[in-house]
Amino acid sequence: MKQVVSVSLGSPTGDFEREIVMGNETVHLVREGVDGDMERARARIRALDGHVDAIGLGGIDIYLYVGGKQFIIGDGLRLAQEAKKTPVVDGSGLKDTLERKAVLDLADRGLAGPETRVLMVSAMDRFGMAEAFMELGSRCVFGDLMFHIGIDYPFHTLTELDEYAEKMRSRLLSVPFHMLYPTGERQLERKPDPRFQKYYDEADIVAGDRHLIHRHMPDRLPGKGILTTTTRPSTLDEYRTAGVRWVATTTPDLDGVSSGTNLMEAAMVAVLGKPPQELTRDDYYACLRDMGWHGSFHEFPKETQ
Amino acid sequence: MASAEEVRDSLVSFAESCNENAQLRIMNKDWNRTIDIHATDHDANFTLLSQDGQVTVADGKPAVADMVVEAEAELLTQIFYGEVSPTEPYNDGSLTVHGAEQDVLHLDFITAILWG
Repeated sequence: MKQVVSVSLGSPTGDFEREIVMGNETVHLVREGVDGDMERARARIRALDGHVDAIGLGGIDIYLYVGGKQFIIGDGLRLAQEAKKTPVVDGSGLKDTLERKAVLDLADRGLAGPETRVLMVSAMDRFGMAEAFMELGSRCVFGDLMFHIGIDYPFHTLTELDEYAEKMRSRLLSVPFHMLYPTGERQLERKPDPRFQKYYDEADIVAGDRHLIHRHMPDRLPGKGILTTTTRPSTLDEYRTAGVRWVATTTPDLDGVSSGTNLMEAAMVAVLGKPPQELTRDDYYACLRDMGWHGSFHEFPKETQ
Repeated sequence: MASAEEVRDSLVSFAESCNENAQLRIMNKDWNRTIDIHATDHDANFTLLSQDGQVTVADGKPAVADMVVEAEAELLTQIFYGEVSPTEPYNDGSLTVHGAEQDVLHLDFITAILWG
C-alpha cells in the first residue's frame, strides 16, 4: 500500500484519512493540518521524509504558473526543501489539468459559457481555471488584489494578471506567506467586506480557493454556483444556508470530503513512481482518465435558494 | 549616510510617483492612512499621508499614526527612491513597520507596483 500525507498549513479541523484504489494500488491518504505553524510543518515534513511515498503541501503553494511563467513562493519552496528523499508536491501540476477540466464540465452541464459572470477570488494560483473561463468567453472578475491584499481593484483580463504577477515576483519569494493567505485558525474567520459584496452579487459563479471565498462571503448568495475544492460536509451546509444553487468541486468526492489538489497529486506521484518534475500535462490527463477521477457536483433544492 | 533632508526628498519623490500613477490613485482611493516615517539615526520624523488616492508629505511626527516606519536615513532614502525593495530589510529587522498587517502589505504593494 502506498502512503501519502498532505501537511497542510490549514486548521486540523479539516483533517481526514481515506483509502483509495488507483489502478492496482491501494493508497492511504492522510491530511494533517498544522494550524499555520511553519515550524511544525517543517518538523513534520522532516519526520515523514523517507517514510512515505509522497508528501503534499496544503494551504501553501511552491509554484504559481501565470501566463506560462513560473513564480516561486519562497515559504513554500523552503518547506518542500525540508524533504531530502520523498517527493513533495503542491498540487500545481494537477490543478492546471483538473481545474481546466472542471470548467469544461460546467460548460457541458450548461452552467458556464459566454457571458457567464464569474468571480474568481484569486486567479494567480489557478491560472488554468482562469484561462478556461476566459476561453469560454465568460466575463471574469479576478479578485487577487481584493482577497490577498484588501485592495478594491478587480482585474478583468489575463494580461492584467500576468503584469501583476511580474510586479509581485520578488515579493512572492520573500513576503511571509501568512501575510498573503490565511493560514491556521484564520482560515475559519469570516469578515464580509462591504466593498467586495458587489462582486459576489454580480457573479453567476464564485470560483477558487474555498477559504478566500469564505473570508468575505456575504450572508446570502441566492442562486449562485460555487466552483471550489477542499469541501467538507460543513462547507456544503454553509453554502446551502446562503442560498447557493450548486457546488462543484475540482477534486473527487472521498466519502464526504474533497481533498486539496496537493494530496491527489501526491497520490499520483506515489502510484506513477515518476519524479514530479518529469510529469507532463499529458501524464496528468492520462492518469485522470485511467482513474476515472472527476469532481463532485451538488445541486441544492430550489426552496433553499 | 543620508541626511534627514534627503529622507524628506525621497518621500516627496515617492509621493509624486504615487500621484502620477493612475492605477495607484484608484488602488489607494479608500486607503486613508497617516504614516509616521522615523529616521532613527537623526531622530527625525515625517508624515506621509494617503488620503482619497493622493499622497502628501509633511515635516514632523503626526499626532496620531496608523503606521510607523522606522529605519536609518540611508535605508529609508533607498527604499523611497525605489533603489531597495523593503521586503529584505523588513525580514532582517533593519526596517521596522508597526501597524495592521494589511496596511504593511499595502505599503509594500505600492512599492512593488512602482518599481517591481
